[in-house]
Amino acid sequence: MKNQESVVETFQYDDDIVRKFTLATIVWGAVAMLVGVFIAFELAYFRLGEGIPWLSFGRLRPLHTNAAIFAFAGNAIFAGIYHSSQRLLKTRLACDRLSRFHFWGWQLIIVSAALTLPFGITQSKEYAELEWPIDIAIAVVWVAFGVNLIWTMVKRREKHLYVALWFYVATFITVAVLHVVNSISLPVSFLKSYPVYAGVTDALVQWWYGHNAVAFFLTTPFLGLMYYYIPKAANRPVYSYRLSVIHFWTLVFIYIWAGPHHLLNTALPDWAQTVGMAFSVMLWIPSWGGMINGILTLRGAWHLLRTDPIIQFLIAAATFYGMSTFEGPLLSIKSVSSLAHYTDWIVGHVHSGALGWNGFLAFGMIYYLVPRLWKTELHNWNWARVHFWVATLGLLLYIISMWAAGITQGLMWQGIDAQGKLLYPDFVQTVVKIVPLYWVRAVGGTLYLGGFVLMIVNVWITIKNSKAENLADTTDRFAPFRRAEALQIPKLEHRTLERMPIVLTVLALTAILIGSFIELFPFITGEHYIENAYSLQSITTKPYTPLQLAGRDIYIKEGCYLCHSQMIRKTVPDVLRYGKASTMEESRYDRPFLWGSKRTGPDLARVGGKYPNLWHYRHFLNPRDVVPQSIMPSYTWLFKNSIDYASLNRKISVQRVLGVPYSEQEENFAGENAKAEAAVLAASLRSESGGQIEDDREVLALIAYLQVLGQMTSQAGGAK
Amino acid sequence: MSKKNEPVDTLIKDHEYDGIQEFNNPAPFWWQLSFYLSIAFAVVYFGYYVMGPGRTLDQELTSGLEEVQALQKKNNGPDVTADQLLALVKDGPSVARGKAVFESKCASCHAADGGGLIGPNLTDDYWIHDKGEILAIYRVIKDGVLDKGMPPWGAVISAEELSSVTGFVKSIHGQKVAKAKDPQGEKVTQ
Repeated sequence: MKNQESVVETFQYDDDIVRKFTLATIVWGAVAMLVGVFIAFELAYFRLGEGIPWLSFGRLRPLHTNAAIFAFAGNAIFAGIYHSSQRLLKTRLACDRLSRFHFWGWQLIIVSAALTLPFGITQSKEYAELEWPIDIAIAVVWVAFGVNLIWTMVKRREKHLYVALWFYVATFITVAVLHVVNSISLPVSFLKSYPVYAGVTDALVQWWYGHNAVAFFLTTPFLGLMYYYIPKAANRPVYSYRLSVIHFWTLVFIYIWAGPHHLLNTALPDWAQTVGMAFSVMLWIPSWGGMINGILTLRGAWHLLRTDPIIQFLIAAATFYGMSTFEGPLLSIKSVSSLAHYTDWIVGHVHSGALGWNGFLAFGMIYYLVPRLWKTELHNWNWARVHFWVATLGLLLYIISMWAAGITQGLMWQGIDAQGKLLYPDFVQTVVKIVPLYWVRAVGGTLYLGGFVLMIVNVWITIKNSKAENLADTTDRFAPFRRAEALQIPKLEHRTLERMPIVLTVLALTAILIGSFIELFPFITGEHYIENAYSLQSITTKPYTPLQLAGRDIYIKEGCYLCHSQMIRKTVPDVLRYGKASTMEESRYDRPFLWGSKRTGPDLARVGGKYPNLWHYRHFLNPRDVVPQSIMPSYTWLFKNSIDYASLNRKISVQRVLGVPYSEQEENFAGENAKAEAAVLAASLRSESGGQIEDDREVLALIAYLQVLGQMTSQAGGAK
Repeated sequence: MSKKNEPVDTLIKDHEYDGIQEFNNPAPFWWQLSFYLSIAFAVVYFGYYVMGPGRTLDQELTSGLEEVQALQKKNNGPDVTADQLLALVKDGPSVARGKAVFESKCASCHAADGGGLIGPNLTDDYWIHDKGEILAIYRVIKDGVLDKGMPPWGAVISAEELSSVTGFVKSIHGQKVAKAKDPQGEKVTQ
């Protein structure tokens, strides 16, 4: 007995790093939500911020999503993982320096995002917008986090790894794979690059990434946090160990396949869509395994739901998780998707996940952590209760208004009368109808932000009341396990795996690589699959002219793709409204692809030639001159900024390296050719309008690009 | 629901992490059943659509479009005559309906009063197509003039709207407008 006790070691947790990440969560959360509320009001009232480029919706929306996901949720994850892992492993984090490098590196990445996105420096791939130098920084810092985490597991005192840690491991390894594969691109300059994938391949890789960023950045780490903070806060045992084993492995294995459900009814080959839908349906129950284990852990302590705001937030989070993981598979059914895709229903769905699941879990965790980290009582628990109810009310207003807006607009888009014609042929009719709901959403978002501000004040006063000596690291005592014993493999059972962090990591990696490989391989090895499909159709695709390419890059810079899709789906209403369904060949040279995911305005895949140049010119100057009820803001700066001709030779050169059939001649004279094209376009606009139009303005390039959309392909033999 | 699926709340020995203990309750029966059913659905669905007789998206689109085209054909009544259209120029209610259509669809290019902006002035004596014959106006609205950016409205608005907006356009000839666009086409004197 005496001998054994002498083995018990005393050690200290690194609480400082957890405090840092907690404060960063709160600061960036405020930024993310403030930007979100601002752009919500922009959609309700287009005059807000009109005329100021860096305040436009297209530029700020990526800032909002990146801040919410990587800055708010990201810092919350790191705070929770570093706090809980040390306690679950009974050891201090492996390396203090690595922890600080991780913290400051991550904040620097966030700052560089805030300094690039509003200025239109973007790769336009959703939730992966940051340009290549920042992508490299993300990879480095992320690996530092992973090394720190797994190293800490290796030097642990606790013999077995608790379920929360399995989820942390899966998070690290999968996000690393997703980020690297999706971000590979060839630089044109320090702040501009083109992805190595084009068209349908780029779309598939992007949504494999985008969907699984939700899975492995916003789901698995938060499930891990849930598994720690719910039992701790409720002081109840976890409901079911065996359920946690089943739902962990099924979730990790199945999630990775579901990406193509973002591309249903599009030009993506049918088999890939069907795989995406089938796996999305199978994903429903594994997701609910997590919800059950979270909520039923409270059995025997239900009364806490009435009294304890931490439990209120955590259990509401698990409930919203259950709701959105039911809604997700539902939206992945092809026929439901044909109604809901591109509408605000998707926006509502995303926010019930982000605000309900991620936000509420982070709030519950923060209220749990702050008194413990600063070793003092929370200033006011009633304020925390008010926060919960205000946030819940705001969130419900948000979700319900977006359901109503999405379903209303989706049905209006689909409406066909007895004569076989669209009931609402003017897109703007369907927009005007839902603008009141945009106001409701903006109010809901404001309430949610209001609750958050109350938390900030509460936390601030709490911290101010804490004394400096309270900030000493927490001491704990624990006996290390006998490593020799752990290395024996007595039985082939899950418990054995829980003693082997590296093997667990490798197995999780294997689980996510299977689906990734089967789905992506045929597309990435293009010559054998995609190229064959192209040549079978005997369709040729023209590359963009230099001016059109310059216009395309402006389209990307201004975030046009965030409100306009370029993908006419294989559905009757889409074809009636926009023309022939889009084909793979049409985006063959599109780097990046710009299929879009939302139609706040109409689809543009076949807008080329639909209106005269002068129509577009006037439309950019003031959309209401040509579409009286339009809610699109005017883009006056496109009439002031000059086209960047100088970079065009280099851009074409990079495109050539990537396999786009430009000649050497076209590369060397790209700038000159673009200037000549712009001069012709400007001259024709001058003669039509009789007005003063300069030769080199950005609007000309953008018009040139829009006018070629839907006109890039031709069938062999000459016919269109 | 079998009895063995009910929670019994037995703690598992040796499962304790930072004070967190674990029960080993069975997964709820409905949860397991739903999981098996969703897997079965996925397998059958995939087999039916990828390897079996399920229709491809292209096939479904083609048949859907055929149905709509049949509807359009059935309702595409006999073409109007010049006399019928001319009668509408003086038919007050029809002109009012035509005006409403004009304001929502045409005003963005021809201005609300028809004085012309992007498209030509419709109130002056100059006409680009067939000397401004009423049937020519009707055809331009219905089929469009793609080269010049005039979209075809035949697929968008009903046959009745097509006729009344034609009547409206003819009715505004000679009206004074706020800002007339420079003449386009040839002068037609009647």
